Amino acid sequence: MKLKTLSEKTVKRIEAEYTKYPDKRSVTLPALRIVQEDNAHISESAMADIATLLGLTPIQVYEVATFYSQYNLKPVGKYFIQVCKTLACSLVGAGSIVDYLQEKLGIAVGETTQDGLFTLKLVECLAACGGAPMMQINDRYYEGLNPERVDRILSDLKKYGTSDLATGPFMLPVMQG
Amino acid sequence: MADYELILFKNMAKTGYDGSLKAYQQEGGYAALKRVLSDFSPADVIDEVKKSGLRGRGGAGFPAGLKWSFIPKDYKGPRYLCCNADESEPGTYKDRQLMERDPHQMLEGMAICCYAIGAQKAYIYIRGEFDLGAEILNDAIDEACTAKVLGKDIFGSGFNLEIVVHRGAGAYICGEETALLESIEGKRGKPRIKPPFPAIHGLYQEPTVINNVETLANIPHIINKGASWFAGIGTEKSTGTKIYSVSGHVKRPGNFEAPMGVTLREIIYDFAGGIKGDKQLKAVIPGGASAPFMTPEQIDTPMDFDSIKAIGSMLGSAAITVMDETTCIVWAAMNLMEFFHHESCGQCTPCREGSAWILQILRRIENGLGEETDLALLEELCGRIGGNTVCAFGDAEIGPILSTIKHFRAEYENHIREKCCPLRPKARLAMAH
Amino acid sequence: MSFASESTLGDGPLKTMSELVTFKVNDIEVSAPKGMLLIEAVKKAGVEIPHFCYHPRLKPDANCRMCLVEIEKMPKLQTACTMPVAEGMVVQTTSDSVVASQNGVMEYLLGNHPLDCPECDQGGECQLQDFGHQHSKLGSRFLEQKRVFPKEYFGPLVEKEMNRCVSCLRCVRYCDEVMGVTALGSFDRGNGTQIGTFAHGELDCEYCGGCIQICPVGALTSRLSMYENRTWQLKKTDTICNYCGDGCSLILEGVKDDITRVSSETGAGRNRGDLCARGFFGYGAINHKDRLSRPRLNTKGRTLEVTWDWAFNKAAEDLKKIVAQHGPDAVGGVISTHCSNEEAYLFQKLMREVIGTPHVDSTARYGYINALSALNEVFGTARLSHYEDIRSADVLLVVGADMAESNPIAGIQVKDAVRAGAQLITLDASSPERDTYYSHLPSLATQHLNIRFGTEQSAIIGLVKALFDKGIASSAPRKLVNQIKKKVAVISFAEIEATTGLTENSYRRAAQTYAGAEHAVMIVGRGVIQSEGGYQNMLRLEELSILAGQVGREGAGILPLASENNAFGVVESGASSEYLPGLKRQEAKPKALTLLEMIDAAAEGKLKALYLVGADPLRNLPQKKVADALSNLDLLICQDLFPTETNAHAHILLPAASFAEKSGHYTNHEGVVQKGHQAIEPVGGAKPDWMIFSILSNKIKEETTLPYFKLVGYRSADEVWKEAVMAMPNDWQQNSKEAISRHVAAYAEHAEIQYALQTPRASNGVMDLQLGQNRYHAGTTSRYAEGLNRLLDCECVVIHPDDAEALQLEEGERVRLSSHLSGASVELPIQLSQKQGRGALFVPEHFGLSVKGLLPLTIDRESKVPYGDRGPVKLSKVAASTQVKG
Ligand SMILES: Cc1cc2nc3c(=O)[nH]c(=O)nc-3n(C[C@H](O)[C@H](O)[C@H](O)COP(=O)(O)O)c2cc1C
Ligand code: SF4
Ligand code: FES
Repeated sequence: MKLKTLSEKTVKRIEAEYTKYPDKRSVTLPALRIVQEDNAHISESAMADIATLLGLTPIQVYEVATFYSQYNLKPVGKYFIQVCKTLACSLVGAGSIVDYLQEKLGIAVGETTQDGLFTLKLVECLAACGGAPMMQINDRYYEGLNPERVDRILSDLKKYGTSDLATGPFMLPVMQG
Repeated sequence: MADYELILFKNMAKTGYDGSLKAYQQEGGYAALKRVLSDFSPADVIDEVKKSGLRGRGGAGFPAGLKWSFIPKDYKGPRYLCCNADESEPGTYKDRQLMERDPHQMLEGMAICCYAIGAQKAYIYIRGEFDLGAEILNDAIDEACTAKVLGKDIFGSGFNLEIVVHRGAGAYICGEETALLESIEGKRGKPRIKPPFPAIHGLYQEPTVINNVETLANIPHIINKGASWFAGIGTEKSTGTKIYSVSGHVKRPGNFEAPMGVTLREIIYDFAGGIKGDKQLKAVIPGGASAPFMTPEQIDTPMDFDSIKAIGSMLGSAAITVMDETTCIVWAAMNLMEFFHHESCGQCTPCREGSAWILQILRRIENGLGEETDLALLEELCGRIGGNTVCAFGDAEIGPILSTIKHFRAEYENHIREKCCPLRPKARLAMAH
Repeated sequence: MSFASESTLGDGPLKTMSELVTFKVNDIEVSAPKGMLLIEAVKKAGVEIPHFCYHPRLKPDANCRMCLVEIEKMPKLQTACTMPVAEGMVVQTTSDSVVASQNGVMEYLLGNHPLDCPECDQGGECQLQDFGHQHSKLGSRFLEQKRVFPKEYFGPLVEKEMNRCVSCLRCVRYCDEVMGVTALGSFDRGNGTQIGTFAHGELDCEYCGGCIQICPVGALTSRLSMYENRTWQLKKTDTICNYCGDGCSLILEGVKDDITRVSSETGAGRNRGDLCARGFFGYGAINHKDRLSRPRLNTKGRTLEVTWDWAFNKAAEDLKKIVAQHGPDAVGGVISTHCSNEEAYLFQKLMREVIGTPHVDSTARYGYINALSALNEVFGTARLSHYEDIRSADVLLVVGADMAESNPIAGIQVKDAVRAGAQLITLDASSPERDTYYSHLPSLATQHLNIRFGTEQSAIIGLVKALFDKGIASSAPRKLVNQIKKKVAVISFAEIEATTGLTENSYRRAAQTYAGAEHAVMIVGRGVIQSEGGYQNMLRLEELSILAGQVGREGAGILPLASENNAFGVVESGASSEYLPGLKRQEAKPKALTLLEMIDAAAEGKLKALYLVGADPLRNLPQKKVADALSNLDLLICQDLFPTETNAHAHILLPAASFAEKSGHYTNHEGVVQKGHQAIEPVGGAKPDWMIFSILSNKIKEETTLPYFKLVGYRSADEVWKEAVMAMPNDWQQNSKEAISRHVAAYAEHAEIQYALQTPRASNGVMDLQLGQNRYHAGTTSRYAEGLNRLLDCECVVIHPDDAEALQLEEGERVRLSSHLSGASVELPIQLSQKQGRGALFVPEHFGLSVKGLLPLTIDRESKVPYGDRGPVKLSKVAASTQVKG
């Protein structure tokens, strides 16, 4: 059982998931996530390694990796911007946020900036419709978007790698009534 | 505006409430679990939940107690609870708030359910994009296990429960309960053929209960205050409160908790502050993207399972998306069809082929390329999906199309006749992937 | 010991379906077993429900939605492929709503379909065409852009045209559910869902062809027969596969004298419609350009093509001359185990009756005779278990067999049983790991008795000894039990462990499982049958089954795997030095010579004429010795399909017809006798072996100068068959509990049981080499099949990756194998395989001759089987590397 790609650290993280399930195959989704976290995207040889680890055939991992939209089978930018385009967001201006982002970053949807910093993608509803329009960048949500906030977020990310405009636990509205 | 008693949002409505175990216990948290473990038999718990009339909050409104009672009593092997935290129905964002702001409330509900059905392991299937929610839940579980309110030998009762957070990875269909099971098993999220139902052959083919976050969050309160208290809230057949997620053209979008049976009007105009810019209401979806559109004339309908069903829509997840007079209905239907087309799992013919075909027709109509025969064709294509698919996704995806054709036929005809979108003269294919 | 020759598909669930229910379909009242799927049950009323994803060999998946029907009292249409029939059900399959939904599904499926029927190889046997014809309205309203996927190839033999796919996933499910290979999957999602291989790569699988066959449309087709014919123009003929002993029914399809494709019928035959690579892709040998087509004479250093008349005259005259000069005992003959029962029968008749020599044998002498004689000796029959027994057994014990390579279809029965919950015990020297897309039974085993290379004999002792603690079946004769008990008592588990490497505990567990089974079937492969001590080891295993009570009763038994399709039948038909037809022992005077003894006799000048039918001793026996013997003969007649090293020495070489060109009966390793039918006219000027024997017999007998076609004698194989059957004992295909226990009792009386432990061997730098069968080939004929050569076309040496790493070897690198005994050496590329036992090497036997020269030859004292497939070799690196396929 020789692995081709995965680092020892990644393997350790995957193995730590084993105890959570009665069946190793269940670790497929966690393993793909872990590989993506550690390597930014999931390569074919990484999928084959996951199969080896979990006692599956590579196609069984590939089936899963291509089913779920969050897995990046090709490299993406350091900041992966996913703008929600489903109804609630589109009703209140997701379209202009996308236009704004395209112009500002100089890329079309689906592309990555030349410096490799930003990739722009449209996604379906992310369950933040109360904070529409919204986008997700890496593991955080950004809601209530307008051009000014988008500017702040992008420059924060460039400067600090994070932005305090990221949404914390959901608060809207502050309370009923 | 009416002042309703909060149940699920009660804790988090308090200033400074941080959702920690300590804060939760200060508000009486885990008392219900403790009581159940010492005073209730599993059958007692199921009885109590049955009596409360609690119906599932995930969309279908199936009575929770009844569902639990389907788990075979004398079964020797393991059983499972899966908490459906996929929150994937467009418009819905209530479970997110429940998990992020008061995670222990739902964990306690899960523990009580597990005790009732004899499960020692439970999975929370949380949508993959909820990184924050997953972190919060994992921390809360660790906290609870350290404090021995979860984990091994809970409250010294001998009852063990391990709760595992399983993260999805971007697939609406995994909110469908059997697709969710497949996904936990490490497979593609393809809904299973039923029967067998999960209560008999569920996760790993073992008896399994699947309940929504909000459903489970109600459980501790039912135990604490009693089934009849709960049954007294809401309507006769839709008991308790409901969290309404409001989005779209409203002044104050957000999650509002109120009894079942309040009217849509109250939610839109009182809770959510009315239509943005005080424009006219044009259409509203009462229960997430799968629910057929309603018209302004229908907004006095009470928001409960049966009343909404009676007028041809569904309460679903009670996610309300409001559209004002500027909204192009064909565009809205197309937007939702884009969603369904993207999210169909692809296993069964009518849904896989139909979603793509229907979307192409809608795109044509919206872009001024519609044909006279398109409306009849759309209706027929939808008719072949409804009821004929493996899972309820098929019924869901045709809801918006059929209802918009029914309520807004003239607008479709206008598009076809004028060869453009009257509301968006410079119609562009906004948001096409 | 059930005797089912009728096919039963999915017999798992059906077993419980005894109760009948009555239901109505389209107002016709029908009854069917309770729980039967509606889609099957309505067939009884002559109703066909259209479907794509349903297939009787697979679990229902209900994804195509074509089979929706209306059932009274049910709110929605229901899928007939998942709905069990129940008493009183009222079903409509042609109501308006059903028809509307069928039209709907068809229009959906056809919307994106390319409608390229004129060039599609599935045309004429396409479910989309058929059901489209019946259930689709004219004209599509689909005006949109069609979805287009690029064409892909799944490696050298399978073409994928995704645009034709209906996403029924039958291919994916077959690969997983039946083969256990799981090389195909569905990927992407929704309307973009595709079926395919990992990352669009090449298939690297067992190539059973199942995906091609089970595809209801033209999405997966064979690259071997692309765009050649329209299917309805092909003549289809039922026959039995000519490669291994599994006895698979297959359909040869062709035009005139050309076979262009093979198929099988779902549920039909011993194989129930499943095939392996050899069966499905191996037909290319039939019409290969190298087939012998005219009789040849080799005289005075020249090769002459002659007429059949000339050849028959010459053969008859020369044979008669030798008989006259040296007596009939100076003639010997050997026939191949690929020939039919009729042919084996006629051949032995020709030798024994017409020529008058006792020296007749078959290539079963290379090993399979061990199994047949040992079974016959103890039980009076070799028919002890069937595939049905395997599938319903609760314990399977597979000894010395790599079934996925040698007998893939029998292997499928084992996989089915394991899936149904049977416990599998495997005993061999392979590692239990599997290669990614190849099945390997030890990887499915509940217990894999992973013995040291070549220690089967000692391991069997371990099992027998361990059995004595479990308690011996009361049916076992006391005398036998006592004798065995005494013998094993003097051998300790410590000694057994020192030899085999397996602990006492492993033996105990396995023995306990085997003896404790309700119905256990023991399956024995080449590792026992065709390896040193084969005859005695087979007896020991039989005794094991007697002691455990797992033989001679319903559902339990022993299956000896045959590598050739008619090893059982050829011996049973009498082409064997010890047996007359019907496995009747012959006491000939002088003693009949076996194959190897004939070679020896030829070398000594005692045997003057040898008639070899499809036998190639130069491949299987020490070359120098055989070459010397052959050149010492006054007359060598060879009869064959292809030129071989051996028949290059023939004085008279006769071109024989292949199985596709003749009818005949074949007996597989279960003992099931099946008829194969002639599909095409003999290629070139070849003739069926039976016809050649018949004519030659008449030529010899009647001392005539009549042209041969006036001397045909038997007019058909059937006529021979009638006579052959008469030569068999009355109950030759039967066996009864009583007869078996009578034989066992008799055996117990005279048995002299020897238990010999092998001595532990130190490895001292050598590795163990095993020659054997690869899954893509059988014998040497398959090497003429283009399809199979695309999968594996050269010799290689298989080694475990760990061993390779330790020796710093990489896949494809060339190594030298040398024998410290003979000093000979060969160079071969290496191939890595996880299932290869560590410290051991494997070379497929279908290619060069020289690797044989590395291995020592021993002869079985009793059965005279020559063992030359195993031995120690040294492995060393050489420079330069080439890639191996497969
Ligand atoms: C297409 C589809 C999507 C669904 N998505 C969700 C979801 O995101 N969250 C949820 O709780 N239930 C969802 N459901 C409903 C579940 O299948 C299931 O009915 C529910 O989780 C049961 O829990 P409950 O009885 O507590 O409502 C979905 C159903 C369908 C058919
Ligand atoms: S209806 Fe759609 S989502 Fe549901 S199983 Fe069929 S293809 Fe999948
Ligand atoms: S045959 Fe029943 S759904 Fe396909």
